[in-house]
Amino acid sequence: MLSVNNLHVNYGMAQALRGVDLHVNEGEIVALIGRNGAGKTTLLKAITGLVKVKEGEITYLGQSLIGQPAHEIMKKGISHVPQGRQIFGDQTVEENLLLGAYTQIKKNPKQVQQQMEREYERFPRLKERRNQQAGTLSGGEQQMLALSRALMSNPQYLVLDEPSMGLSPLYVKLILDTVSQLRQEGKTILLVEQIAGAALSISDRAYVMSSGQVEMTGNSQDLLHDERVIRTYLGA
Amino acid sequence: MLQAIVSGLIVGSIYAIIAQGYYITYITTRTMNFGQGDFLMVGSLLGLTSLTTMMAAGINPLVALLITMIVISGLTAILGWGLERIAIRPLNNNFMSIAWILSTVAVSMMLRNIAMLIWGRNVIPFPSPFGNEVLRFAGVGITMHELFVAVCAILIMACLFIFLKKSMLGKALAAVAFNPDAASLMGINPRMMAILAFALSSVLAGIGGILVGPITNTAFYMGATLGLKAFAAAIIGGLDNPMGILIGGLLLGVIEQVIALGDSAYKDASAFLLILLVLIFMPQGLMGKKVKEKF
Repeated sequence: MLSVNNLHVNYGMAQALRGVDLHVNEGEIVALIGRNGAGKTTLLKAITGLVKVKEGEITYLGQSLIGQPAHEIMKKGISHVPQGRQIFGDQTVEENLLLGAYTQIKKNPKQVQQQMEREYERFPRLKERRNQQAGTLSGGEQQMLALSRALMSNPQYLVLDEPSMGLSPLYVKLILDTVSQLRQEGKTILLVEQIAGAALSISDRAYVMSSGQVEMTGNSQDLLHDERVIRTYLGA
Repeated sequence: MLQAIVSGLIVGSIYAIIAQGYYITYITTRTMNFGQGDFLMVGSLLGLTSLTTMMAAGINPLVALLITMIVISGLTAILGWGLERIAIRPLNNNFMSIAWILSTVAVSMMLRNIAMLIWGRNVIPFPSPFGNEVLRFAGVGITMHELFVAVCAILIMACLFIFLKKSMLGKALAAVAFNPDAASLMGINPRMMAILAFALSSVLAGIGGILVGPITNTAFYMGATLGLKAFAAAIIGGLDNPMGILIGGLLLGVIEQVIALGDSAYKDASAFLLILLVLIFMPQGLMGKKVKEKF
């Protein structure tokens, strides 16, 4: 479905990605784990067109994504929930959700309305706060909103960047349970997560990144029991 | 005194219309057209030519005015698109780049000189299509044109507020202003939004030019002071608050006219004295957002 081959990304003189290879098959949850600065976020940004690729290839459903701007890549059915949520704080919850369906609201207003109802069912808290300014929500609520906003366009493919960052354990569980549920709804998910244990337990496969390269890859259950992973990322 | 206040509100509403142009481009791209006043001049002179030509051809003045407003809106929108493409986008790639200040001033100087070559150096009277009839309400005289300006200002402001706050395009503009990367992840094209912002801003200047023409008369240099005063209105009201800008514009217009009652030589100075006072005591403007830095 999505494949990344020999990807290089530079920030000025600094090499953020150095020859990354990765693929995600339809219906999978694939986790990306690694320390801060390993290049996980950069890889996601390269896939969704937020950073310029220096070298390499990214293909989605057989089409190259290289050189395409973020707003075009999104229209192909790839939704990105960015790190730090990046909701539109000065607009209401409902306005944020509508902006998530910006490309479809004119074509299918009914469908957008139905999708919004589905999101309100998924997170009733958002419905309660539908007219509240998004910037005044708690961190957990903002993450729900970021996730729902990304789902408003009914994407096939979801790219999630640290959805549990800064959340209380209760919210972390809620968000990760939602990610698992999304797979059951037919979504394909590429997940970057700091809590490596949780990421490995809900994903099918995982890539371990370090210094802009893929260090290890394999079945998540195997990696969960790999001594090096346990020592370096699971803190045991 | 009441007469001065009414006249002030009329002129102030034009400042407010022009100043909303600064607001729209500022929130979307963090840049502004420092030649907004000269875009107004282009709107005014082109409007004058279009209006007098049509009226000379025997077209009803009101129909001619309506057609002129539509044509000038189209032409200034194209001018705004060109400005974004030539003077803003190529220079706005670097963080903290302020080259756009010079580039927009450069474009405005070019426009001013081209206008001088076409329309000459002299002041050209802009006859109002409504004639010179003065209506009297409670001792206050108001021309039909001033009444038209007031109605237009209310309509333009209402449309602008509805567009910015209620329409999907307005929400998308606000989203780009808040976070361009996140907006592009929603499928919003930030470049298109920048073009839209500059086109809209230029249309406001162009319409402002047609409205102000019969009040101030027209000349190739008319934009400098008007643009600066509209900028003052935007700063006084708060550059990121359209309601503040409206109040800033009206306040500026009224203060100018009231000061002019005493001595009209102090009229322009009063505008800039006001901007100094606001900047000293409320640097974010009367209704701008206060931003406190965390250390």
